[in-house]
Amino acid sequence: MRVRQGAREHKVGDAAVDKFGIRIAVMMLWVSLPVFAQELPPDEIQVNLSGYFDTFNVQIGYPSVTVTKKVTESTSVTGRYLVDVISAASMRSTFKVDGVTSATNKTSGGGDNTPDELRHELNAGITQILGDATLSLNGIYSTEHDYTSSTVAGHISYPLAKKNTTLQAGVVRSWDTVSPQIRTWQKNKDVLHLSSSISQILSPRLISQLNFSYIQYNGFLSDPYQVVQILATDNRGNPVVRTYESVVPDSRRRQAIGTRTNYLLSDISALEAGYRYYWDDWDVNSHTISLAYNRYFHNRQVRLRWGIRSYFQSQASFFREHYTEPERYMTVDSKLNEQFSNEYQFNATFTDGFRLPLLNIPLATEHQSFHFKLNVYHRHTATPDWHSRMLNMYALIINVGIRFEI
Amino acid sequence: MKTVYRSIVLLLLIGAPALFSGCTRVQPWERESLADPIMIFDANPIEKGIEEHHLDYREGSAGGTGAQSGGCGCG
Repeated sequence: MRVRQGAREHKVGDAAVDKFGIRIAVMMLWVSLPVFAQELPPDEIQVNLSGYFDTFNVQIGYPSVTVTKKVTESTSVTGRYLVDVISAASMRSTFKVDGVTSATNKTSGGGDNTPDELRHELNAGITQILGDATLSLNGIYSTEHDYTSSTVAGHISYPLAKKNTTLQAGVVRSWDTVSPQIRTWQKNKDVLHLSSSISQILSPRLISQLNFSYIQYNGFLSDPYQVVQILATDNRGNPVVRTYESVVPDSRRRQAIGTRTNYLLSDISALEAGYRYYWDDWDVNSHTISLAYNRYFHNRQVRLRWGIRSYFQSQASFFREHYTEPERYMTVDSKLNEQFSNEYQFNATFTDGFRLPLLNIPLATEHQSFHFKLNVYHRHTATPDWHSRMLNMYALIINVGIRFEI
Repeated sequence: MKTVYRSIVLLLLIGAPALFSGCTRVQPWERESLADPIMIFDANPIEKGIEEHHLDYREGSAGGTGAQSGGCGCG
């Protein structure tokens, strides 16, 4: 019995991976909410090369290029192209599901057992100053082997109280389609993300921001590449392991409220602190605290940032490490498990003609800057991860980039 | 109990900036240092986006950080 169960678990563990999550891991509308309204983004070309590596054997590389250009005194446009290059070692998912649905491999589309290692993302946006307000609109299209996504977003900033206060509001709408490689079906997911923010200048050295988000998910919200295994008996009374698709509710209402404050310690240093409280109707609650120290060096040519972020989360109401019988909702997804995490952040930005000491190599010029980021992430879940069987996950997130003024 | 706790947290978060904002009025010429990159939240939005979305996938929370997200399958 134990041998059989172990063998089955081993087989599934080898095959089933976080492919779904990995492949869309960087799909994001990169819009930061400016502190000051009536500002257009700078004219620039930004080239980034980012990487993600963790102890669950996931490696992702994603280069991107972003161009931002002012076309009139009050209008700026942005375009970006990004491509994901994902480690294929863990992407050969060929397991079958015994219960809930009977899965068979398709012979085309998402079922040809030749997983893409590339995802392409295109983004186009426009920012317009209208009177005192700043309005931005963005559209994103992402496509890959078994997942497509279309997103539109709008955002407005408006200053009040002689520009001591800035009100901001945003809406993001996404329409996604998933057609998993190992399933016969195709399903949709819709996202509505409403956000609002108020930034308040509290003194010449102190600024604070309050953010609120409401996110409504509808449709297929599970991970088609994760499975739930249940130990059962066959007609003869012999133990067998049955494998089921993960099933979660088809809607999720998520809310978060956060605040952050930045205080200028001196002419060359600042301290930023933040807190966020999150809750949703899957009973996930979390607290996030963050602290970062920014400081200039080398005649303000070098800007360094050290940060720490701590996160504490409760588990979703239907999450279990093991299920003893099929239930209406079943998931072993670690991100819905009780957990805490710590992230240690380091950023370096080089500007204004900075040259590497001793080597005298220029890293930046008057019109070009260079930046580097290294984050070390540690997550501890209350029970072992369903796939790796480990409680702790460690990850490195690295980014190098160059910004050219144009 | 959870509801009470949430309400208290929300009131604190919403109330604190509002209380402070009523008694401050910083003049334009006093704001120079606030435009310095070290005082700007998310001075590099692309880096911020990369960071946020990795966290979205590894953790069960999203939003409330000042960046807008969407178009992901990380439900």
